[in-house]
Amino acid sequence: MGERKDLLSADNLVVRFRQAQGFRRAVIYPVNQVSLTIARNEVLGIVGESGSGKTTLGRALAGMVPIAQGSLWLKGRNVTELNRKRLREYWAEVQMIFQDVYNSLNPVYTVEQQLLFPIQHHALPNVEPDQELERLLHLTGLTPAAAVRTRLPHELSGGQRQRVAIVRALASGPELLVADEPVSMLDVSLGADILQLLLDLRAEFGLSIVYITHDLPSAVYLCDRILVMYGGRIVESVSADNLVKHSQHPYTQRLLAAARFEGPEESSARSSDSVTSSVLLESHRGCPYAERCPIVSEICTQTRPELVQINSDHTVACHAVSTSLEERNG
Amino acid sequence: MSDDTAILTVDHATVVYGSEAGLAQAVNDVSLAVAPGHILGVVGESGCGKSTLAQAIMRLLSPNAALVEGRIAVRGRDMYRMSENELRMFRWKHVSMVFQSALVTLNPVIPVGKQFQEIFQIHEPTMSQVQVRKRIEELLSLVRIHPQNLSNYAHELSGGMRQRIAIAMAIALDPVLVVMDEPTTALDAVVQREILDEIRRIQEIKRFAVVFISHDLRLVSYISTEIAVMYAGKIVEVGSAHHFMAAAHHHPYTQGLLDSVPKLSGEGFTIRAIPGSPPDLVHPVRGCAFHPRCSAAYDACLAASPILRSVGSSKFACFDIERRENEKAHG
Repeated sequence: MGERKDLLSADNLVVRFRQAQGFRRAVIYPVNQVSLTIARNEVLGIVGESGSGKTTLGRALAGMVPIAQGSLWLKGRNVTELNRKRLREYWAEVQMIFQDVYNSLNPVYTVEQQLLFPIQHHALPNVEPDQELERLLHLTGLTPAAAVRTRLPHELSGGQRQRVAIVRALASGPELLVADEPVSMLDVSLGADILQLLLDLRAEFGLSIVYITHDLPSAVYLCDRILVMYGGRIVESVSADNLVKHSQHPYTQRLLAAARFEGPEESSARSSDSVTSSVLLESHRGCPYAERCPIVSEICTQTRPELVQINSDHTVACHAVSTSLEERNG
Repeated sequence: MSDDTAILTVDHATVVYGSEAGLAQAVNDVSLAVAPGHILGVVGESGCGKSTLAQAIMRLLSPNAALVEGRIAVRGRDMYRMSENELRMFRWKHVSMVFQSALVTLNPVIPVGKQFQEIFQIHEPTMSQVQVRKRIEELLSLVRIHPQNLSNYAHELSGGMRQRIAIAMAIALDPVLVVMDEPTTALDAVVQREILDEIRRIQEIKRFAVVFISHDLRLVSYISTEIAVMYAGKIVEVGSAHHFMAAAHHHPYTQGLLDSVPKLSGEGFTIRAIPGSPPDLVHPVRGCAFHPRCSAAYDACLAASPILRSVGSSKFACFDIERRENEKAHG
């Protein structure tokens, strides 16, 4: 773990939540034994549906939820259990932006008040905060800067608000930005600008980005590599190019077909059509996707498939894929 | 546009909202018709007037909004000339609605089955309990929900199941028109696709007409027979959905929407946002509402507002498309 080129790496990360289920309390695992690495300047996508664990994983990477098991490494340093002071240092290096940007800005602070404080707090001695703010506003397209500075969040468009949140995240000079559905609440004609801005910032600052989304096409567009999550686990990890052409996991293929509006009509008489929380319980056996999988076989309900390497940039956790791989290799 | 055979006719409808900032024209001189068995997709972004249009069709406008001009009729019957009582019996029986969140439709403290029964008690009081029960089971099997779910409360069901039940309720009395306002937007991609296929399948059996409101052009081109694109309260492009995605030309706003979204098949494709900001409905610009954001705008676009004209198999409200078409026609 913690190779030189890796900025952040996670090793068998587990996040545990207590959840009320009727009158009983249950322990669920929204993130279960997830290992990943994020290289410098890489854009890593985490894709999945509601309940897949993608947002919780993002929050765990950003140091916002406690890690129950496993370890997290930033530039070779173990950052799994940080005290308050160390956590603040970590947050300067790993920042997060959210889907609901309206609730992540203070409604009674102007843009300037919102942003000057974090800039002052993190500024290097030779940097004049006011000039730094001006520079960041221009860089993120918040112009005319003089007019934008005096506005309150409700006086901005949705796209502008997300830009303000991005400036605030950049104020501490982070190396990693965790972006959780940053455009899914924006109109498409404005969201495109934010996606493009993320790519520009990556080039400008050498940032690494974790892009969390349920929207496969935007992940393929933005990311170098994509992790597909289901039931708290990574089911496929593949380069964005290969995801479109060579994805192997039945769940990834189903997401692709849905996003393309192609393939056979979706219809099934299942009693449930989303991730049921039983797959997040510790007692759950077998593949998390088994109950929805069109090619499910007996072993899938018994044993959980491990991630198997298909080639240098592609791993899949699926018994059917592993079996056909073994047959091909004799 | 007042087609006698049409299920829905909207003639020069204008809807105005009163707000602190002044009067906002949310729907501006919109005319359209939906034929039996057709699905009209209405696409646009926040503030384009698509949801207001849906509410106007249902006569469900909020208290600070009014249909100030034009006529909206379902099967020739003007809904704005009905008494409250007539309207109550007309809605659901002849025209019904599916909302973005099924929780708007479903009462949280009454089991789903009881709500189904109430629909029939109010609208079909002569039906016997046994007939009602049979009818509900038919409806549920149409949307592939097990009858045992009738005893559930709304919160006990998944988002996809709730939306299926909302659809079953909307078609319970065999309406001729169902208005669907972003019915799949709150759902995950796979479930969204399932619900769309469900709607298509049921619609092919029942042949009701649909007005399908969405912000997603690709989704709408998948489900619709016709597509109307709205901007600043007006329809700027309308045509058959069949070749829509591959059409030779589009209104500059439609093209902007298409260019803003990443495609899975488009390698080397760079997404481009539409420059400028969304239209101000209280202080509309002179001329075409889209001209401040349009790269093809010229002096005519600043002077007057274009009206919908046929070019090829579609209609466009765009001076530039008209001009290019004229140039082609005259050599």
